Amino acid sequence: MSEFVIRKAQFRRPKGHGAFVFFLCFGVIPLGAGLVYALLYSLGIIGYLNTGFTLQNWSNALSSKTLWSSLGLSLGISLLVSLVSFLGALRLIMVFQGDLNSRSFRFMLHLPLAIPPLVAAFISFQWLGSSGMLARLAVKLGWIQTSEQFPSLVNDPYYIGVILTLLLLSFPFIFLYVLDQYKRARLPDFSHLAATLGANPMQIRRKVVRPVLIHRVLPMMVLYTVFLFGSYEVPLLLGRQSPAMISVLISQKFSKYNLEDVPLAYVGALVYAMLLLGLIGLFWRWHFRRIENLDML
Amino acid sequence: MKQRLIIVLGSIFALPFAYMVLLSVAKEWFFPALWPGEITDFHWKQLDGTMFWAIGLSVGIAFFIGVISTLAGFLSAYFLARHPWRRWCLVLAYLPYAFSPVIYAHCIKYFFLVSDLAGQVSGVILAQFILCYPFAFLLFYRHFDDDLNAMEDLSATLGAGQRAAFLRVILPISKEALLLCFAQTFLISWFEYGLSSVIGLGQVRTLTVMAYQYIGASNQYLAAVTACLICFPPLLLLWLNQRFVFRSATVQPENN
Repeated sequence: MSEFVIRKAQFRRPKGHGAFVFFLCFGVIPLGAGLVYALLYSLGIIGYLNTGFTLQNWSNALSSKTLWSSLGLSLGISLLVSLVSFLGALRLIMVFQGDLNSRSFRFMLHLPLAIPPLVAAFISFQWLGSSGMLARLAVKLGWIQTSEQFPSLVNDPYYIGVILTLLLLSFPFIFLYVLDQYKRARLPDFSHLAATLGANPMQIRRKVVRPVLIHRVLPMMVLYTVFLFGSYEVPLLLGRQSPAMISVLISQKFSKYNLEDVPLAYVGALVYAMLLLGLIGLFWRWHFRRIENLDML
Repeated sequence: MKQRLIIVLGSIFALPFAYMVLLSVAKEWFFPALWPGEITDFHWKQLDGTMFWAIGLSVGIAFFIGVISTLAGFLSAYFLARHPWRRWCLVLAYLPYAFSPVIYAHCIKYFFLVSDLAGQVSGVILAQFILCYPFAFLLFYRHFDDDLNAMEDLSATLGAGQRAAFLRVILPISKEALLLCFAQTFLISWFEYGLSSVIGLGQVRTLTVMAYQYIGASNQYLAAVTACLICFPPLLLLWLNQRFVFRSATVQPENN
């Protein structure tokens, strides 16, 4: 296409400045304004009980174990759930060799995606509690006699109920995504090729399938881990009050009647935001470099 | 082995729905019974005006959010497709999407309070829009790739005006993406609890807020009824999706 034609064709579309302003107004400014407000509040510049600039709130929040244990717990659970879901999906695809085209099975895999976290947490509560369905089953099998004998998996110190519920919600999504990438990357073809060249099934898994899949799904896995990091409904119903996952902790501090907790809650929100920005920044740095290398953008 | 694994997985995924329905029609289901003593429609008959209002409100909000987020995301991605800061828009759009909705809600709650939008349906709609709009933009960002831009350029070169190119080329090609985006944003709004409860101050009683209130009040039967109502539209969308939208769709291997 000649330069004239390109210029003529492109001239027809507006520059997009109006759309950019709209995007800023509804996509960026609300979050930016919220974070600026949180910063000013945490520094004592605005707010009901605040009297002037102070770093006391930051000092109090950052020196408290609650915030760090909460962040550590959230990070640990989100990493664990993502990793187990991914490894489980990888294993299952290896078992089935990507042969999962049955419509009914794909429909079944989509079923958990129709359950919101709140409902999933409610169902887990009904199943994993000390008088839940699993406990009743244990009674029926003669393993226990009373509900107190059943180790409750709800509000437990190891967050087993939360982890199981998040796994139930995450695994189908991650499995479907990994399966999709498996096919898009033409891994069945490459596996056949490797087998023809003499590779055994173990070598095909380790040297062909796993590296390609990890490289392709890593960006989405990072985003999904960040998403799980901020889980709210499931730990709210199934987790403990202390240590609580970060969304629950911040929400608790905002909801309490003690106004002195509010600046600490804003500090928590800002620390969470900084962690998120750091993770997304790292992700984008890596992702853009990869895309540029592939010359896709 | 494969067949057995499929059955086990299928059972695990289907079990929550079966349990919810059973609990919603159970009259009394106490420990250690594995099965409810009596099946009844008593809890479903308890659906009163408040619950019908919650259903209507949730459907209305989710539908409205689905439509305006899809339109805004589509038009933004279309007009920003050749903007010099397009890539920055993509990076910035990820932030509200990745941010925990409940923490986001607490950070912006002040602005809703001073503008008298907190506790109002309009406030919840606005809050959900600023959550769903970046997501819709992200969905359409990749849609408006070089191929689609080149196609629009081609139609312009062949004499189509901008309006004709948009209405007769871009829109028909984007039909599936629009449907997908509508379904996704509808579901985000439909499932939303944290943001709605914080901005709505518990006064905007959507189905998820009602479900949480029933769970908090230990009314497991009505919570199950509400949970069934919450899960019905996504299941319907899933079935429609399976039946019509992706019936002929297959995953195409990439050539690069």
